[in-house]
Amino acid sequence: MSDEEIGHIKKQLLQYCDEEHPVFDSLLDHLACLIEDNKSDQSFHQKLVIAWDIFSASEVQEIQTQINTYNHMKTQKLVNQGLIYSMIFSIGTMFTGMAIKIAHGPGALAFILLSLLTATLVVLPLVMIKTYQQEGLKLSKWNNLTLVVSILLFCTGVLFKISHWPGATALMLSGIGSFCLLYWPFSFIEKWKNADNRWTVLLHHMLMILVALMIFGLFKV
Amino acid sequence: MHSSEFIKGTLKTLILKLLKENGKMYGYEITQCVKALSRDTIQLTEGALYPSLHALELEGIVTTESEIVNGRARKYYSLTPTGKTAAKEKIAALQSFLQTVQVILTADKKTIQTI
Repeated sequence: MSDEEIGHIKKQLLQYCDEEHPVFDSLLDHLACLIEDNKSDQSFHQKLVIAWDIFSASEVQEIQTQINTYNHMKTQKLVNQGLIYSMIFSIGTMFTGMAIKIAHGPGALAFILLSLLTATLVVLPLVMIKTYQQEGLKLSKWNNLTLVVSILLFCTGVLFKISHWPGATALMLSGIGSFCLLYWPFSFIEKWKNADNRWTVLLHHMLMILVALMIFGLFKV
Repeated sequence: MHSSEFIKGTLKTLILKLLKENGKMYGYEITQCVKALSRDTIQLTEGALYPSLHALELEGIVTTESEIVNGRARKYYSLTPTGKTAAKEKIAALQSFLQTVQVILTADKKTIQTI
């Protein structure tokens, strides 16, 4: 088959399939094989039309869609694995640091700091990627993210307080503040709108505020 | 021509069997081989074949290598070491399943009623 003929097949395929797509080369070769196997006296263009009929454009698009779905699933799997390992690492180092701190051993702060860094730089971005992959930009998902950020800020503040580092109060206040101002109202409105039993939603959210205030008071910010 | 429903559930195993025996194969070759072996009763569509090959590649069961043939890139698929084990297991599982189906399909009225 000449380069010109390959070019024709490529041009035909490019109307329905991206050249960078992993399946492009295989489909091009498949079409070329169908044409080569056609031993009739027809011209190349006639053979291309017949091969393309067997192939069908919708099939090409369907193949791409299915392969994109597999790739998406693979990325999701990797993100999930990364999330699990980083969370295990973060929690593990946190508990180790806390155990060393209770035993008044050396290096406790390094462990705690490592845990916090993992949580902030790895766990949280992965949670955001996972959220975005699953639902796109939906209010409920961003709501969950504000909850994660609030908890993270508050926990960081608590750890700063334990370590007697400066800025602990500011961190805890911003954690509680973002919970009360960003998470709570939007979560309440969204659940209130969709709830079958609105009293449960009200009770649930009132309890949430009470718990937040109790924690707030417990650490005497 | 066999129903595409039957092919759907067994396609990956058929691909693995062919790759196990042939070493490496390209997409079109697989379709032609299945067509010939089944005496034209199984015709693999591209829409079923390539996504399955890609899924097997992502699972680490098959690996690919490209070669330039007649001015175009041809992707050859072959089994990875994990894939060789997986192929054996999947083939054995399918054979066992088919035997079980055969037992059910050939059971007579008397046998069914005595259960």
